[in-house]
Amino acid sequence: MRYAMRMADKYELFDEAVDLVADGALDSAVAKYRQALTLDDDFADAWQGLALAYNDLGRFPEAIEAGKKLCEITPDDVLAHTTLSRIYQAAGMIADAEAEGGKARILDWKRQLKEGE
Amino acid sequence: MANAAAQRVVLVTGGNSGIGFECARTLAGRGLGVVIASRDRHASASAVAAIRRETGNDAVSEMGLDLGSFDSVRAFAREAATRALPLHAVVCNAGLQVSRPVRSADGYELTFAVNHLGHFLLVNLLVRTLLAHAPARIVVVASGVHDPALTTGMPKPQIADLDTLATTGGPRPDAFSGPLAYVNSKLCNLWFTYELGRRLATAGLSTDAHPLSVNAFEPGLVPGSGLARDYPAALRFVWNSVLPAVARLATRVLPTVNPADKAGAALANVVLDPALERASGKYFPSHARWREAASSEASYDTQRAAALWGASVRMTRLTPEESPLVSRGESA
Repeated sequence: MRYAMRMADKYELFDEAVDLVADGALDSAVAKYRQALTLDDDFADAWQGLALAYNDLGRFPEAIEAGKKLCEITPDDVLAHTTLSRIYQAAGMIADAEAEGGKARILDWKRQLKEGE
Repeated sequence: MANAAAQRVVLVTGGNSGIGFECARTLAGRGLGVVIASRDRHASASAVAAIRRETGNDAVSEMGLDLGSFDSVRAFAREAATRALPLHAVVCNAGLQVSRPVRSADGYELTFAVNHLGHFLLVNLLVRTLLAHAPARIVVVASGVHDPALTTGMPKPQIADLDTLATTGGPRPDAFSGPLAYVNSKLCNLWFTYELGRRLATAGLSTDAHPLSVNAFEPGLVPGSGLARDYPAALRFVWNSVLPAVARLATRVLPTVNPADKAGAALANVVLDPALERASGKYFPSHARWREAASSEASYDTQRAAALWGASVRMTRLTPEESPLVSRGESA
């Protein structure tokens, strides 16, 4: 009898990535976050983890790209904008960190105005 | 090091940074199992790695928890039950302050939702597990800003009706202030702590033989804590990078200014100190060097505490099946 190997779903892959981070294996975690994103390119938790993993590795350009993608997917999320702002800050880009915070606030005001219409 | 399942486990919400991290680190260093719960699972996993590396304690882990979502809190409680964690303590440490009005997943003002409602629901869902492992403890991280008699640089609490508080964080339906929402949520933390202690005792669930103690802790001003996460980046830089060094000097003469490691160790002590096993309904503030002291007069208002409990049951849709501290009439 032949058994088909079951594909891990995106949540399982995300859990594995987080476990790798806890084990201190950041490079392997990056690969696992990426694998989860191949199953769902809009998986915000994986973009969040990927952005911070790159940040922890000091790979700031990739961290910023991942953080921007996260903010695109969840534009009204405080954590998403805070994450990108933290990365800018870690990269020494304080002006960008400020701008990101301001952008987040404007986005939130727009959303509230829309809700109030 | 023993596996988490074989030892006493402490849950620390928001344990991936600030005093929560320092508390988790201290507890792990004393050989306890620790579960760090936060929405930011990557940050939690990084914290777990750092604590394991430093303490050699492998019984440190993380679980995802979004205190701003009732669904997430309930999923967390189910996962904790599945893992059969030998939970001996819950440290309700996570807290936030936002600079603009933001709603939680359930439609409540985010500060009130995370700082009060999420923890209210979490603790109620975990009470049976804690009682099963008594002696057990619940520690709620409050703040001196709840006390209008203290000069803290923050506004004084203003709470009118609880529905307005839940939707705006303040007393007026047409206004929002982040600092006021934070201060109000911290008064709610104390009402919750004292009401929870009374209910556990009245229901006969916490006994001398099997105590489940509930106490509040006040860390003082702790630069470097996560509370500035929503501030502008420059201010956050000062808060996280400059002021911690200042705090390390200032704490020698000012007991209410503390570096995160000192406040976190003091918080862990409320979980660990054998002398506090049966101490319940107490307040341990930094201005008293974390010895027992009185909180504000308003925090001892039993009627408002009971009203907050009832409103919180209604808002979280908590049922008697979920918590032994909720009656049929309350959840209707």
